[in-house]
Amino acid sequence: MTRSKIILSALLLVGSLSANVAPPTVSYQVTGSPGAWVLDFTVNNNTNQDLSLSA
Amino acid sequence: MKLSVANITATPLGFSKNLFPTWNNSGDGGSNITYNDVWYDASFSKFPARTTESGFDVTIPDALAQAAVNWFAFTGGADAYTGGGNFYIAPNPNTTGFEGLATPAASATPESGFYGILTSGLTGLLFVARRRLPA
Repeated sequence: MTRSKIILSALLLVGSLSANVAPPTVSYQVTGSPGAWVLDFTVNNNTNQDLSLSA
Repeated sequence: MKLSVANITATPLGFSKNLFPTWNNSGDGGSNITYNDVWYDASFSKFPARTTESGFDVTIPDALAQAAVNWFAFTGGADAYTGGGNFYIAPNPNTTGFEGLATPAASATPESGFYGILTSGLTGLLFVARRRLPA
């Protein structure tokens, strides 16, 4: 495989990855103590749209 | 989020926490879960595509913290969403609804052997690439 083919393949891979979209994902970290737990949620907006409503 | 109480204690900049006390997606083809901690950005501009936002905090009085939490989200924008995994989609304007189950985040610190394995793997790839490339 020539160097130019390797570079072209890499560019195609990067292009396909950047066009990929997926549903949002949500995770959270728990701090505090029994009776007063704080749940801190992190939302990953993996879509190609702005996220406006979250719960 | 669906939690034992409605008690939002932190909100990211640009989001409102009081506009919708509860929310249910059954009318739009989603589950019949009633969510009781809801954040909303009416401008559809504070949480862009392919970004991450934290600081959505809820304080609960439970003896044990929940091991998993039901969540939902709506997105919208100029481009249609085609990634799947959604319960609702509408054009003009493009709007998409999602639901899922959140779990506690795993530790962000890699295991001690992680960087060694990564380095040796990259070294091997470079070695193979050098041997295959013409001089």
